[in-house]
Amino acid sequence: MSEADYNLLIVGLPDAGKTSYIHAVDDLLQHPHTPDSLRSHALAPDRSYLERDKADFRSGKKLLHTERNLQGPVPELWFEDPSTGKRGKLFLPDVSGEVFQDQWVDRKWAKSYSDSLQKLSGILLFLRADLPASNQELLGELAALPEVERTAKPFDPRKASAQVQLVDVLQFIAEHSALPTYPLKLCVMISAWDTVYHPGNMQPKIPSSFLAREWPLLDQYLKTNRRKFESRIFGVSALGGTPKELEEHLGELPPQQRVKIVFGDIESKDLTAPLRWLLGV
Amino acid sequence: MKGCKLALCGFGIDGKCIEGRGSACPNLINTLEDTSDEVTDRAALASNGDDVTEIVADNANTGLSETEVLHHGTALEIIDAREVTSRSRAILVSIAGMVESGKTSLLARFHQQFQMGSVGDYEFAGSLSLMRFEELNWRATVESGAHAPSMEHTSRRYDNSCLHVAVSHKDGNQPHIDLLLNDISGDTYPDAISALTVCENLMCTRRADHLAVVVDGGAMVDRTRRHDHASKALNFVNRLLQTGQIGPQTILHLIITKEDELKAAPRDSACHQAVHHLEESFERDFSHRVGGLHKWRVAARPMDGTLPTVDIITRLFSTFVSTTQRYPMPTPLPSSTVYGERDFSRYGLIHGDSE
Ligand SMILES: Nc1nc2c(ncn2[C@@H]2O[C@H](COP(=O)(O)OP(=O)(O)OP(=O)(O)O)[C@@H](O)[C@H]2O)c(=O)[nH]1
Ligand SMILES: Nc1nc2c(ncn2[C@@H]2O[C@H](COP(=O)(O)OP(=O)(O)OP(=O)(O)O)[C@@H](O)[C@H]2O)c(=O)[nH]1
Ligand SMILES: [Mg+2]
Ligand SMILES: [Mg+2]
Repeated sequence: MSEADYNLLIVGLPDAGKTSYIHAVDDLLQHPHTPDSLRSHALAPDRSYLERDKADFRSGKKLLHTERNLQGPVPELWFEDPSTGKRGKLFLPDVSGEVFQDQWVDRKWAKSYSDSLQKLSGILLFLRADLPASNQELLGELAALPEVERTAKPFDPRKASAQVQLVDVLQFIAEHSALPTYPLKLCVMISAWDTVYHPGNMQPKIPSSFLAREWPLLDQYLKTNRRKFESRIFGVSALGGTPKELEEHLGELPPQQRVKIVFGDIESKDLTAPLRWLLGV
Repeated sequence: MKGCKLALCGFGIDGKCIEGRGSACPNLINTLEDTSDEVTDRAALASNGDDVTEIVADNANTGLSETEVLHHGTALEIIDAREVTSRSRAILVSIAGMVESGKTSLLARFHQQFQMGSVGDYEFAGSLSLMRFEELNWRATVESGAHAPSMEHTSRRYDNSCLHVAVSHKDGNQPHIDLLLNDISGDTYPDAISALTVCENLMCTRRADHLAVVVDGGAMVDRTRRHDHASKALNFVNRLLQTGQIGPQTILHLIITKEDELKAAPRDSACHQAVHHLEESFERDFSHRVGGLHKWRVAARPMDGTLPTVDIITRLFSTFVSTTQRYPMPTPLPSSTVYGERDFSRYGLIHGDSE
């Protein structure tokens, strides 16, 4: 049986849930949820990066912020599709969110990064359900806040609206690199999806509706640039709950049973669903 | 690193050519090396209009890794704007008015509205000016720490540059429309009335599908400023008609801003009459000389929290994007034409240069 290499790019600003997802998928491949689920058929030779924080992830501890200049081999997952017997090696570089923010701020990227885009099978774009997409405008009632102790800070590009930064990061990819195929497949991964079910949360429970309402600029960009990016939108809970919930009770469950993924109105635990679509397996 | 021979030009500082010629300007000279000023370098590199991403050594990090320069995210020089006009259906809006009349605030609100959703029938399809838009809006966000919205003064350096946003009609399947927003400094506006040469140097106006003349509603309330502001609006349009920079190819807009301040004045007060009179004068003097005339009263950043803004800004934006006297487009001229305003008007859009 042939074994192909698949390179995915994981995009997202700091704290978007990227590393958590990589760990969750790795665990899920080792504990497939159904007989048809993608599964690990062997461990890659070098798992040093994944194993370093594995214990923390499994115990529900907060993961360390990923460093900018990670050295060493890229996390590599060997998978098999039980229904077809097809096998592959999935490369999931855990890029620090700061790398993408640096691109936005410095208006440049490493040549090695742009070279790597030429081998891409797809993109996983992460954003957090529980963080705001935009800065809050001083409009309406907010236009006249009490004057006490409020002085304007100078503009810092890192404080620009998150959805604006993400759109520019995608524009960089679309405008400044030679992608292997057009359109390139892209999964929007709305992480911390468990938080939308918190009592009193009025946000849409269908990921595509959530994106349209909460991250409209990004949503419009993807809709109007279908020739460049073919997208699907998922709600993902890689940890299963907030750090507090994990500490209180959720931590009792093994990681692969805490997870949740939603596509349209279908809910499951198969976090590999976006990968299946991206890789066409 | 490059700088400019002309004392007025800020190319050496921020890469913006005062004549809008970008890195092809013959006035550019090599200046002393200054590798510490990375931002300057970046802007200079990024404004050269090349499609190809440039490679530079990354001295900030390891000194070993190579980096590539990406689009700069600020306003486009004419030479970059020309690229946009040559690749797609593009609409150019020039906006002019007195200092502090609310021009930049209005343009910045377009960006804010797209962050909330589509604007009328138009969806956001991209922008090469996202960094600049965010910077302009910063002082009108809660996160900035400001207690009331404010806006930085626009320098003359931007007179021949454009903010960019691409949109797509909700119907789908239509090509994207590139909107170029040319924000003329309030410093230049009275000078263009005083001196023909200043006016003629407003190069974007020649290619403008729309000219928006902004009159400060707050100034119209003030007896000491009202008459001058109203007269200058008429003078400015007359000047541009005289030079042929605008004409039947241009759609003219009179935009009275800061409607909140206007509305706060008693209804029977002289300021309302003055505004009405100005609108009538525009109708009488210009409607037959331009391709269309629209009159608006808007509050882009009202201090009065109750005044709605979204609907009127949506209608204004939609009018900009959906109307032009210039299309259907004539066949593009060959791309080997010379630089400068003619080149910029590559669709033969200068008055009298039709196909
Ligand atoms: N409630 C909830 N929170 C999550 C989930 N996944 C991630 N988070 C939160 O997001 C934070 C950041 O997650 P990471 O996976 O470290 O984020 P990252 O994108 O790798 O961040 P950088 O390494 O800084 O680029 C976590 O500490 C959690 O607080 C989830 O499934 N549910
Ligand atoms: N009350 C009120 N103030 C406004 C409104 N729109 C803008 N302003 C304020 O007017 C001031 C000037 O606005 P700008 O947008 O900078 O004006 P401009 O015409 O671009 O000015 P220059 O760049 O100096 O030519 C800012 O402090 C804005 O916050 C409005 O609708 N109502
Ligand atoms: Mg991380
Ligand atoms: Mg201004």
